[in-house]
Amino acid sequence: MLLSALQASEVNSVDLQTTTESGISVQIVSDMSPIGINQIHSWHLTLTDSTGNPLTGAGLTLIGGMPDHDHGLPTLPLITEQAQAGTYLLEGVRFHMPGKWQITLTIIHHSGTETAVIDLQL
Amino acid sequence: MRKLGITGLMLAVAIVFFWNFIALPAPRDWSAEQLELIRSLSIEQLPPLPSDTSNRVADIEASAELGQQLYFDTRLSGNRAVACATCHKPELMFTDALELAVGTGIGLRNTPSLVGIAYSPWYYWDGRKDSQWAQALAPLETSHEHASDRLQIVRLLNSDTGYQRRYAEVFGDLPAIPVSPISASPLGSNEQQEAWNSLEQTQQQAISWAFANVGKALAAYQRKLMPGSTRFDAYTEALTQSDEVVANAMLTPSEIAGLRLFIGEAQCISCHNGPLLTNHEFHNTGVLSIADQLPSMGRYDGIRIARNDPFNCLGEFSDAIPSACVELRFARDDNSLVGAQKTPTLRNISMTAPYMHGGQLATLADVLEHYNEAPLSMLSHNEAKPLALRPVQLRQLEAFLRTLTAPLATEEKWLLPPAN
Repeated sequence: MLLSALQASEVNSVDLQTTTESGISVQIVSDMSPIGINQIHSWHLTLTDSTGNPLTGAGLTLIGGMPDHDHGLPTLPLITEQAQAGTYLLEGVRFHMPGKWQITLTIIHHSGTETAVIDLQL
Repeated sequence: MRKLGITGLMLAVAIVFFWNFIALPAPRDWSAEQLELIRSLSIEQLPPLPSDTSNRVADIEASAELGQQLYFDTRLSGNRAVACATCHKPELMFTDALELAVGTGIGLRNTPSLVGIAYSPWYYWDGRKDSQWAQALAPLETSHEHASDRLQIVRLLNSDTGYQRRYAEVFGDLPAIPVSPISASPLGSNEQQEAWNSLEQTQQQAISWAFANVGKALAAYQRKLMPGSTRFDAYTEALTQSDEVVANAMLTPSEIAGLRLFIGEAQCISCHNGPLLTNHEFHNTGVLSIADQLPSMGRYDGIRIARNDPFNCLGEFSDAIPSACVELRFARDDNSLVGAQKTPTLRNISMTAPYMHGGQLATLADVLEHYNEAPLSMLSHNEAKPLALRPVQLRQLEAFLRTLTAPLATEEKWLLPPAN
C-alpha cells in the first residue's frame, strides 16, 4: 500500500495520481476540476503497469471516507473499463464535507490484488 | 471562616458569570484557510442553477407561469381550500411556522423552505423523491395534504380555459378524460384504486402523463425561488476586497465570533457547507422522534421509496436519458442512513422556525443547545458529538445565524398569486 499526496499536475490536467507497490501508475482526471464538494461527477482513470504498458482487464473498486469523521462517501461510485486500453470510468463520486478525505482504490489484476490510497484535502 | 465563605461565594458567582456571559477576545485576523472556508459559504459562490434533464420544461417561462398559477390554486385539493402556498407561504420563506404541516389534515412532517431547494438532488426530509417535479406530485395525492388525485387534477385543467391554453402552450393539448369516474388514482383509497383500475391502460397513461406535467410546471415555478444576498454575504465580499473596515461594519463582533465558531470549533460547516449552507445530504443528529410517531427510519427508507417511484428519473415520465440519472443510480442505501434526515439550508433560517423534521425544536437557541449536547439517537447513532460550548458562544452562533436572512433574489411578481 502506498500513500500518495495530492498532486495537482500542470499537464493533462491530472487531478490525482499515485503509484502502487508493484509500480502500477494511477492517473485520475476529474470532470470537476478542481475537485470540490456537493457535486456528483465522474473520474477518468488511466492505469499503466510498472513497464509503462496500459493495464487492461483489471477489476477496480473505490471507497472513500473522512478518517477524522468516521464516515464514508455519500454515494456508491462504480468503475467500468473503457474501450481504450488501460482506461476506466468512475461514475457517481461526490464529496459532501470540506476537510481531509481518503480514497482507497483496490486493483485486482492478473498477478494479484493491490490497493492505492490517495489523500485529498477539500 | 465566614470571610472565606463570602470570598468563595463571590468567586463562584464570578466564575458562573464569566462562563455564561463573557466572551474571550477573538483573534483579529482570519487565516488563509478560514478565509477560504468563509468565501465558500458566500452567495457569490452559488453556481447557475443546473438544468434538470428529467424535466424538459424546467426553464421555460411559460411553464413557470403555469406552475405559478397551479401553486396558488386551492382548487388543486379535495376540499378546495388547500394550495401549495397554504403550507409553503411566500411571506415566511415558503414555510408555515407550524411544527407539522396542516393541509386537509395534520401532516407528518415540518414544512421545509423551498428557497434554493432546486439545487438539491433529493426532496423530502428523507429524500424519497429525486426531482422537484416528482416531489410536487406527491402532496396532491396525499390524504392529509391536498387530498386530491390525478384524475381530478387533470379534470380541473380540462375544465378551465385558462389552464387549457397555458398547458397547451407548454405541453400540447390536454388528454380527453372520461366523464366518470370522478376520482381515480393508483394510490389513495380502495375506491380511488378501483376506479383507476377500471380505466383503459391508454387512459391511465395519458392521465399520468398530464399529471406528471403538472409537477413539471410546478417545479419550473419553484426554480425561481432563490435566496438573496445577506449581511453575511456583504461581509464576505468586503473581506474578499481586503477591506477590513467595511467588513467589520457589516457584522458585529458577536456575529463574527459566531462565524468563527461556525467554521471551527462548532463544526457546523461539516454539513451546513457551500453557498446554500447545506450539503444536501442525510445525517442522523439524534433529534427526538415526533410525538405520537415511531422514530423515522429517514433516508434508509427514503432511498428505497425513491427507487420504486414511477415518477423518478429512470421512470417512464422522466425526460432524462438513464445515464443522466447519476444521483439515483449511485445512491447509498446502507444502515448508516437509518434515522438520517436531510440537512436544511441555513439561509433565512431566522424566519423558518420551528426546526427539524418534525418541528421538534422551537427556536434557534433550542437547536444550538441540541447540538451542544448531542444526545443519544433513538435509532442508530448520532453522528454529531457534544460540543461543550459556553452559553455565550451559543449566543454568538445564534447571532451569526441571524445574519443569513435577506429578501429573496426572486422578482416580486413570482411571490404573489398570478394576476391572470
